[in-house]
Amino acid sequence: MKLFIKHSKYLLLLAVASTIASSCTEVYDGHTKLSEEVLVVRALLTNQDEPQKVVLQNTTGFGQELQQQPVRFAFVYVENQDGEKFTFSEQEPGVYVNEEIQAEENQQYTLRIELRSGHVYQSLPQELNPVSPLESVYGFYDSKLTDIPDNMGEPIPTYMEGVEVFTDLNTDDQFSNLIRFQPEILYQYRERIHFELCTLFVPHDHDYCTIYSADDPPILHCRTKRPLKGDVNLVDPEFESVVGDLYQHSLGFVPKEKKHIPLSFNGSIDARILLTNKLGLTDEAYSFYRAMKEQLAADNALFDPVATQLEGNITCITEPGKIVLGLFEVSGSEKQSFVLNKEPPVPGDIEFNEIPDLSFLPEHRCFLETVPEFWVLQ
Amino acid sequence: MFYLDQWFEDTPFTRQLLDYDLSHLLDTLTGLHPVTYFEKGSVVVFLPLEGLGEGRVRTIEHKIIVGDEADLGRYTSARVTGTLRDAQTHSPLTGATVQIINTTHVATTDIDGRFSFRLPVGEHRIKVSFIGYEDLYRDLYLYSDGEIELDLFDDIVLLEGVTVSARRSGGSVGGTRMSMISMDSKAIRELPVSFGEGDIIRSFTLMPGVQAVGEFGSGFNVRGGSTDQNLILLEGMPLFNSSHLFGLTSVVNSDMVSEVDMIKAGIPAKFGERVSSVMNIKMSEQDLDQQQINGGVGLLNSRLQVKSPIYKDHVSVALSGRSSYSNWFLENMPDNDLMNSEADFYDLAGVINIKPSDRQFFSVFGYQSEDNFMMAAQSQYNYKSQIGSLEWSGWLAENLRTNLTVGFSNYFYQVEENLSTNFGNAYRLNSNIRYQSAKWNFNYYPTDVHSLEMGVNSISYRINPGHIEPSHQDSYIVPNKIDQENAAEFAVYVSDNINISPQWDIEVGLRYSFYQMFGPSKVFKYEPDQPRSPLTITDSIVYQDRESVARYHGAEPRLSLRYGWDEFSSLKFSYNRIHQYINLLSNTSVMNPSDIWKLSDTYVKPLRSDQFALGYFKNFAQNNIETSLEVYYKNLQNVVEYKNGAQLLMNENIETDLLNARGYNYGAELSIEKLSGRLTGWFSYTFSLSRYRTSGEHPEMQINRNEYFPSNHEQPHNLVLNANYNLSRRWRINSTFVYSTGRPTTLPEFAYEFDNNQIIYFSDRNKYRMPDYHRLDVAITWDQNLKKKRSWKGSWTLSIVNLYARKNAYSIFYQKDTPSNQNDFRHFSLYKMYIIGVPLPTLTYNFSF
Repeated sequence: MKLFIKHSKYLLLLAVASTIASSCTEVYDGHTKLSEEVLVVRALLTNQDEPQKVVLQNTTGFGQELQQQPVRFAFVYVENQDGEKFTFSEQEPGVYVNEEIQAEENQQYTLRIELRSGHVYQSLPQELNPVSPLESVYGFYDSKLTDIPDNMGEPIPTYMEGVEVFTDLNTDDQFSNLIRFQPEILYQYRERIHFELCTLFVPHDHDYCTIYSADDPPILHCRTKRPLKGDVNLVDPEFESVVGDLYQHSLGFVPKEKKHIPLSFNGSIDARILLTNKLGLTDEAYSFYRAMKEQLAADNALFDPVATQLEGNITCITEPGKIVLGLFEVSGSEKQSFVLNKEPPVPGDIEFNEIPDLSFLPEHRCFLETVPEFWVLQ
Repeated sequence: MFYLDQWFEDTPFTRQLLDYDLSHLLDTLTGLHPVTYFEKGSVVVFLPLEGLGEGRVRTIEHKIIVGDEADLGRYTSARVTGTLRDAQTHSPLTGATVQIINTTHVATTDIDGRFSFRLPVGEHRIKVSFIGYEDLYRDLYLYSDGEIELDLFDDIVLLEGVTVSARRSGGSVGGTRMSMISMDSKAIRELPVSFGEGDIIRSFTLMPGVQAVGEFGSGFNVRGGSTDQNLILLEGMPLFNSSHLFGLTSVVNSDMVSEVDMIKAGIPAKFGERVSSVMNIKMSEQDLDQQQINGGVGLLNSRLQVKSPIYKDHVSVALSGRSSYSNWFLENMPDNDLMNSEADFYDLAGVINIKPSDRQFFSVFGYQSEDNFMMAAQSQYNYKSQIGSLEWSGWLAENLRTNLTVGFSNYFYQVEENLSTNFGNAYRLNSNIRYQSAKWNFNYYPTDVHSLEMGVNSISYRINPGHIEPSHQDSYIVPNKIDQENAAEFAVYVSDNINISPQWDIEVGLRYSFYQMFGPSKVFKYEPDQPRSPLTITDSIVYQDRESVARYHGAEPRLSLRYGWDEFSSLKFSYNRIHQYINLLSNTSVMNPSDIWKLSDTYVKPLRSDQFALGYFKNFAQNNIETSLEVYYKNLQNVVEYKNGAQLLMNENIETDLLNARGYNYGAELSIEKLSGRLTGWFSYTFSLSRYRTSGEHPEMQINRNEYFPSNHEQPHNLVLNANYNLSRRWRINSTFVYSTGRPTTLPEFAYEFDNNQIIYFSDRNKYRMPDYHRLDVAITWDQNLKKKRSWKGSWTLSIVNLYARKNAYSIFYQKDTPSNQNDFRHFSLYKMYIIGVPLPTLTYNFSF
């Protein structure tokens, strides 16, 4: 007894420490994986005059390394309610393209996919939900905690300064707010490059770069696009800020930093251009993206809701009940571009001015010594 | 004292008998041996019963005369009704066996300790047995109808050595009641200890048909029902959260508990509200003139109880408190996360007993408990329960007894997300439930063949489902409040217990419940024949204050039957229907105190359960070994289920995320129990299935294509082996082994890429199961002294939970990974969370004086 009292403090600490230390997690390998692969469909049909794409791939078993597994040699077509068929041809493995079709209002479309295995998949009829262009885009200077990957790829929460970008949407009509955005930021920048880098741009003309001296290196004009938000940007009345009759909807955060664009220390950004694509969704598409957003946002902490399943609008008609994933989306689309008034952005003086749309520009491209077409001047 | 040695041969007398007072000692000896005695002055003479005839020689103190001797010859039979109480605490004893020796008359005391017989007029000998108490023998002289009161003494010390009872089973041979488990405070103290002390909720989860949610998780499941289907009454008021620290220990301090009963089937008509079980916890109706202090000092918490008379024989008070001190330890931990963590709780309870006369009794009860839990300065959980009740019981006439209970039960919950690095998402979320109830119960004993119980029960509910507000000035969170829910439930009931013959007993009851939800409220209307979603809202109806929003009512018949072959075996059948108007919405992988209570409304229909149960009960070795086999089938209508990814918090269209399901539970429970001797304990095996199915037309309204699927709490096989062994009079050892099938779970099956996002495809609902659960706990207790006259009594208990360090899965979940060498470049991984992965020792000192 006396011995216990003498050492009670240490015994108490030991017991509490063991309670806390004993609760833990470990990787669990015990669950059964399905052997059969499942078809995933990503099909987007818009009213834009641009090539329309259907991407077919197979799933990867959970826990395995995620790999692109294109589904090849499929017969893919879209049929409208008038019986007109638009066939999509495989342009690259698993990517099927049609350059003729352009979705129209008051017209229903059905996607049909016939695989070499004999399975036939078909979507529910989808009707285009038209959208109106954005009336304005505005922003506030702010600082925000963002995960920045370190050298090992580990996300490190870091405060970044930048501009939070918003647009206003009318709260009146629920149907008109079945909307998702695909906002991107287009960085337009210049930098002087050294001889070796210069030769990479003109590999066919070895002498070209010799005309430049080290004191007067050539200038590279580049444009590169980055998505503004990593996950799904959906208008969700539950989470929108309401100002009067309007939703103040966030399009994303434009960081002031240059770290995430391939820019050397002596380069400078000329302009930051916001590219917006506003897409009007059907009920099924909206539910799909909402579920996707919830799944992506889930931390799966202890008391979090159970799994969110993504229910698509495609079924297998040759084998009812066979799982098929993905979505056939027919959406009205409005693409617009806005340039930020100051570079770098200045607190208290943030404006976005609309310019002709530049969303057609490729993801990344540089021009040596030549100011490219559509170069925006501040 | 005169006797012959051969009358007590083979009986080692212990020194402890010397602590008894004389009459107590004589009662003990005559109860154990075929002898009787008489007193002459200071002389006691023992005589063998053999040859004298039953009851011919006795002391006047042990003779019970019922009725007037002048009535002798007027009646051929008469009814004797009695109440059995604990001699020390005066609490009624439920489940005791009252037997008329040399006849087939056997009765089991009811929840109020009452029993009744129809007997021929004349002399009889009564034997009263209750595990943990001394057997009581009395001679009964019956002339006409009448009532008797009997007291049983505890601290049993049999001459052959020490006997410690493991628990008391209500599923015994006598009475119509089946599927019932009863324990008193003594029995609870003898149960396997977790973290150094007896725990009511934990103890019941070791009984057949009752399963724990896990090592960490509120509540328990009874016969395949969810946790919210159990009505846990504390002095007549319901507990909405039964666990401290998310399930580590129960919120009721067992020191204060005088008796607990759980009924799983054949639920009497006076109980309703929840469909699976009723757990009735009674706090001490203590001896009004006795002073006592007891408590315990443990590693995680300490507790203290004080009982004291205020006005001798008429007013007494009992107070108890319990508090953890884990915060102090956490603050001193050499780890930043732990230093910034909190985990503490307390509970306080108090009873004032007022007894103006032997026929009137009042009690005032108050209770409060609170928990705080925070891990690494992130989410902070706070939840609090408050209960208050006032009870009056008394005799209105010779054969009419009444009991009135009024009170309230409030439950408050708050979570605060105060992310120290990201104030933009900082919020505070509050919800609460306020419950008020009045119940007026009457027991009427009109004739000698049946007793009637009837009453009314009125309940008021007020639920605040959620109020969110920013908890930091830089937070972007928009304040929002979900409309309050208000409703009232009213029930009338009557129950008739008929003793048809010594073999046949029947109890027939009917409860009729009315439910109404009131405004103010806004009810959304949806497109007909379309799945309910915010997109299909067509209109909304605003209801004013007190305006009727939804109304339900229904009959709830009850039936219990018993056929007894003899005093050692019987067959019982029961049926009950119950409506439940309140549900706990839980969409998390484990139950937690943040789950939301939801009342039945326009879209959420009342849950309805019909249960049929059949049981065979057989006792051996003079009732020292009890066995039972019960089978049951439950049909459930209007079970609340959830759409995939349902959002339950702060959802003003919550009906759009809820689904209506129906289902069934069935199973069998086998129990073998040894109640006395050096080795006591039990073995139980339960087989149970619990399946639900939806019937929605649209895929959004379906789960698993409307096929039956296992409920979250289905565990088909459950086995418990408990053993208590008394090494000596001071040392006793206890061990419990538990095995059960793993719980159903939904797991990821595929991963794929969509719009540069990696997406998971999950299996059908509850398609997989977590690994099987098994665990061995041991505890050893040393009593400092056992002398009855010594006021200070202490004991040390060393318990080891999870002796062989099984890492039982508490939850299986997936998380995104950063691909690296260490994880084979995986983007996602499945993880198993376990709560107690090592042998966990606890040392507790318990005392009383």
